[in-house]
Amino acid sequence: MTYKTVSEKILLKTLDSLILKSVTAIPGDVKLCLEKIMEAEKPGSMAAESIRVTMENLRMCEKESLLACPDTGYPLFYFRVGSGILPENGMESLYEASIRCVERATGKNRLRKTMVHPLTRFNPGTNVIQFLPKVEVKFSGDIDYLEATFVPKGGGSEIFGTFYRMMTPVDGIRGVKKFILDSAQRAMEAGKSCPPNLVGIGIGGTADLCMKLAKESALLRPVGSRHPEKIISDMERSLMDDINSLGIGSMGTGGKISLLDLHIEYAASHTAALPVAFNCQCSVCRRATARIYPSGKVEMLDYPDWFGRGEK
Amino acid sequence: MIKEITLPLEMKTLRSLVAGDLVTLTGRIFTGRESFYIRAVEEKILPDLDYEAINVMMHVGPVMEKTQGEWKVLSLTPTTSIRMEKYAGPMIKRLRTRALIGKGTMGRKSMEAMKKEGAVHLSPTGIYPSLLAGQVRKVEKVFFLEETGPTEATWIFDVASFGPFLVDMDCHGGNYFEGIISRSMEQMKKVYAKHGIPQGYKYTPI
Repeated sequence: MTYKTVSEKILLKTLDSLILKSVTAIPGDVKLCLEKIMEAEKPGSMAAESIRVTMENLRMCEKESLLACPDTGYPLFYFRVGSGILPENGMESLYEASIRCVERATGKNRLRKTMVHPLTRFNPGTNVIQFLPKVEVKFSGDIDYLEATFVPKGGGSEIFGTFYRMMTPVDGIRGVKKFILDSAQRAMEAGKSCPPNLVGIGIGGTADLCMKLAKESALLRPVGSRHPEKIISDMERSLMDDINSLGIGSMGTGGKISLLDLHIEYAASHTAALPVAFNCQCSVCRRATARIYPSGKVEMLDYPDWFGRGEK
Repeated sequence: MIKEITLPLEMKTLRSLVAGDLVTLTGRIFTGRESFYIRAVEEKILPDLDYEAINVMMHVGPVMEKTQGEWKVLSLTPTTSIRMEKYAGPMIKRLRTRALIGKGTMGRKSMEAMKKEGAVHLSPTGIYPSLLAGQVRKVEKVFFLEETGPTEATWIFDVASFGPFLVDMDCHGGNYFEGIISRSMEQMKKVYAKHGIPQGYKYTPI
């Protein structure tokens, strides 16, 4: 097989711009959704005020290139590579480039010095320490580009919005629904997970795959997207309505809308198991994507087509 | 209506605040998060501060920049206070802190300490780090920068019309979020019923 190469220089430059874009300007789909939520909330209510002031901040951040939130959190990269595409310095350079760009952005205070050793709490001040930045790579036969996404994942939504439970088939769909509803309540009450949240659910798979699906459906699927299978998309819609009906609202201040969206992904399950995972993203749902073509052309996008469903 | 408060926060003003009020603050505050509490309680190391003159603490990890010898705040928004639940009550008592600024709310232990000692919890109404950063007039001092790094260090900020913040816990035992949470729990019962989930359902023990 002959490979077309993506230049190292363009790769580094693109990752630098992805980091900068993601931390200062939130994606178009998220912005649009926040505007709709503001319209839906009762004028003069605390929830309307909450969204209003958040939007005011976001406009200021985008205009003056300021951080949308100081907690730039965990640096996460997601690469989807066309099978005929190769980075100039080899596949491994995706890891090296990610590390270099995170270090550089941290040095320039575009990323806060957040990542520490979990036990000694040592902070190297670079965000580069033991497996972080996290780099996920997946391959796709039908694309002729390298799709790079950077997500600065804040602590609030990660610390208070992560749940996992291994259930049994006896607990069934009702058990799954209860788990999702209870998790949403616990995460969002008093604004712990910074709602309105984008909730991701993983069902099935091994423990790690289950959580990976939850995380990726929260972080990488655009607001408003639905799972292609009806049984799943119906569940997405109905659980979203149910969670909104709890009245938690923006930052827990009490309002009609507590979710940007709710996404479910599933994997096959062991016949004796029923694992479910919950992970959520915060209201300043930061991510930035770029498609890098071998020609040197770079296309900046709001979200990737991570699940390969033609989302663009 | 937003109540404008001049710091240090006096008892009379403090008592006039009720859950649901919006306030802005003008004067000096200090910052801290886990490292502050762990060092204070477990290692008995405290920043040398006049805690009567500076009696408002913000739970925060700001993004800071030093240019030409001067520190500047690039971004700050309160971090979640409930993580500090174990130590916040005893520290309120010890330092006579009159207000804690932090995201979300706190637990029963802190609520009791606030009622007994006289303190409030203030939470952000939204996410507005750039607005807050612009309200810091001066970065006066920093403690523990070497030991803990800029995110966990204790900073002294001189702020002007800082906020607005929501009084979510007042010193009379009032709690803004409690009502919202109990209403959502009530609604949850209806949602359970809709899906045929029995109240108090226990997952199959494994």
